[in-house]
Amino acid sequence: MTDNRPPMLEVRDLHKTYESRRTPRPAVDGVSFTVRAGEFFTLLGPSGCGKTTTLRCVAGLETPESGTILIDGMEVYSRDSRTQIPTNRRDISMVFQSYAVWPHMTVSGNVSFPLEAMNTPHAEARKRVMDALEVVGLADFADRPATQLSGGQQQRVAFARAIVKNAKILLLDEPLSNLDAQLREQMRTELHALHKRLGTTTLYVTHDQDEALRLSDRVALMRDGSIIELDTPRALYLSPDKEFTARFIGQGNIWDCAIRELHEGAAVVDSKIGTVIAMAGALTPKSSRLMVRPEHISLQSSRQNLSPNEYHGQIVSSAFSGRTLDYVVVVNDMELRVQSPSVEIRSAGDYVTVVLPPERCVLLLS
Amino acid sequence: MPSPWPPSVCRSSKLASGFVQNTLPAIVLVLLIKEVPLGVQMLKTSILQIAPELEEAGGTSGARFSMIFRRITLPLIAPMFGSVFILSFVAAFRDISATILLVGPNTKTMAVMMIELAEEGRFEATAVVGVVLSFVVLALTLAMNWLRGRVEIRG
Repeated sequence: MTDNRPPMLEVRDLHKTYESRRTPRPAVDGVSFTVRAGEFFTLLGPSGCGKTTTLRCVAGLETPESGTILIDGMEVYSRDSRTQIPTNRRDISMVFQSYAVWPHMTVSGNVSFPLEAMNTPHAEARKRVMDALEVVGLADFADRPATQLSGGQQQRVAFARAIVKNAKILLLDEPLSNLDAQLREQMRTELHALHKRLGTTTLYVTHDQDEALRLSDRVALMRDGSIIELDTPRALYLSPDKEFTARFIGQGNIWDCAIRELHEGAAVVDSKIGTVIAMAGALTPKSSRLMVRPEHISLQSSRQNLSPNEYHGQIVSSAFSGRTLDYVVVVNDMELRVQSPSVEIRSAGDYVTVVLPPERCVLLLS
Repeated sequence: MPSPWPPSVCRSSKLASGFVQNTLPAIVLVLLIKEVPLGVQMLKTSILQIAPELEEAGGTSGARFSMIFRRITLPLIAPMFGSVFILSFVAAFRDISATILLVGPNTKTMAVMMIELAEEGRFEATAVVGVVLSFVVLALTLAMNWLRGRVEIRG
């Protein structure tokens, strides 16, 4: 569905090392990706993985060492042709983690600044500022000094300032991470609605996997300056290729296994808990690691006759957290973490049948 | 009494003193030299305290360097400018050590005037000048505190 849209942002083989470090380790080490028009694309990763540096290179706030960056087909940075278009002439707008709302201006002063920089006629600018404030729900606050706003309101001002320009690409650098949990949840929903409505191509940087999964069309998971895996949220969560992905996004039971038979799309593997039928991707090595997410395992009452992918187990601990119960179940001396909805409550010591759905047993590339 | 200095030094210093003694520019120059280093340090600190994102946000909004400086950087350090001005002014206003050797009959600072009046034994007049001087300094210090308060509110 996304594939026939034209590319809006292309990043090719980007490299960047900060010179100040005593032992220079590249912050961005050969990152390439393409964001299509209207797409919501997320760079996800732990702190220090180079996601913000990549974003700042796109914005022109950092100068890469090598690589190419194209915005709507136009080179804004290229080492080969020695192109480096300054930030203010790139067709982008950005929301900073710290909001960066100018404290000496009013709300409308902040929002109209990008239009003044573009020499927009006064009457038109006024209308666009009010429209942008309307979108973020701050129309009544136009004449307030920016310092009299709460954190969430400042965040909205920063958003209004970013969308008023109608730039081709919206760059968002962890815009929700400074908000408290409740407000973050609310802003996340609003951000999702906003993107649906405006359809602006968005490059989003976050370390929060929930945000990335909820908001994005595609997610690039980064570590140590490189993209580890790039796919849709659903594919990254349900069928990750790498152990790092499985562990960073969600939780997983991960253990060694050996492949016995390989069929079209499915594999039979031997492991510590017994024989498991699992999903097999295109590339599956001889020995591998098996991953099952805790919430995909179901527990049933103990019975004698077992079908494939069913195992005898005993609950060794259970923790109640309202919506779910977190169990540790021992199967053949191996501990499995299981998460079940609280509709049925079991207790430690119970004997159970552990069911692993084959389509949710994923073979990882080791 | 013969001068302890060689004649060339005497001649050039006399020449120099001819330029500077008894003139207003001399006092201004000396007070500038005395007060500028502290002021520059204070301004430097306040510029460093501006979060870099505030200026970067200007760039991503499409503004050129000149516009960012005029519309964002300058207004943000303006209260500190005022504060530095007042602090330097107060220090210069009551300065004696640097100015006392440079004042002439037509260029007398209030602080030096107090000393001269006291030497003449006109203590009432000395007190009057002192009171005026104190009030001016007090008013300026209050103004500075008000400006500082604004800087802090702006964070």
